[in-house]
Amino acid sequence: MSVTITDEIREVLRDHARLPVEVDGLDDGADLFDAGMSSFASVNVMLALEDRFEIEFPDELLTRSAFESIASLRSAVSRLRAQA
Amino acid sequence: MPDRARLELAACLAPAELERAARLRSTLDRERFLVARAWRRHALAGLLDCRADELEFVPDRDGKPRVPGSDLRFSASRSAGIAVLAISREVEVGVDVEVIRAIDDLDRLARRFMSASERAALAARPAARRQAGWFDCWTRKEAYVKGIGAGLSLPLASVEVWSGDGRPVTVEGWLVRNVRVARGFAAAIAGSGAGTWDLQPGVDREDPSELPRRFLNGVCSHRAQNRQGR
Repeated sequence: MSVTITDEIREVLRDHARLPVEVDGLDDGADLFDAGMSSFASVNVMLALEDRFEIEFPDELLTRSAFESIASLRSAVSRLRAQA
Repeated sequence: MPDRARLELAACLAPAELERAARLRSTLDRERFLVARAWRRHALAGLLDCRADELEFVPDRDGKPRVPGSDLRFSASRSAGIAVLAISREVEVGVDVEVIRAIDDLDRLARRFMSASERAALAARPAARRQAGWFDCWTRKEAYVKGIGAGLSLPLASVEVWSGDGRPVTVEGWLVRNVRVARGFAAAIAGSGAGTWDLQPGVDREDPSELPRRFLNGVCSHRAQNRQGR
């Protein structure tokens, strides 16, 4: 089975989001800030996603809402990869 | 934390809060969550003259929590054992706290999240003070964005809130400033317009039971009233 973008995002979250809960227990739509991700941890998630997918988040995506869930991150990453 | 203290804390929380606590992996995280939530309830209940377990939190249309029927505005943040709670009856508030930690690539972060003048202010600092400067600026941005609520989709580089020193900055009618809550932490509060707010820092870094003991004894906080502006 191939590794999906979602799998890779979950892996980045495990390594960089410093979540106090299990990443595997989170739905794609679960609010990551509610789950305990600090604002600064979200920045580290952003940097790790950029390195992993070789993308760059443009200013208009450097927002809290882009980082609020696995689904919102997947949508941002997919869009940026399509543009790359 | 002693079982009795944990039970007393948990007694005022809603089922959804207890479920959330149960999902936390470590005992320390669970205790910190219980303390912070119970503390928020006790602090607000004290001002509203009701019981802590009676409080109901409902998000407003900007996603900020409110107690229906009350005029209290509040904002809370936690990082590594420090919890802060800002409460006001006069202005909207947003608050953020972060533990100051090592950053591998500060230049990259500054390029992405700071305005040109904020970057210049950071670069003008001695290297040893840049990390703390970044966190002062970052917590200001977060406090402001949390305060406006609807601004969660605001690009952070466009929000200019820091001049490189401790001076408060006014942005779109909001006053944003850093506050010192504990050594090794950066924190900031944003308030809409002129008015007063209370900022209550709670420290559970060494011993999470310290905080419940304080409010269970009826000394809810060492509340310091801060007046906006100078």
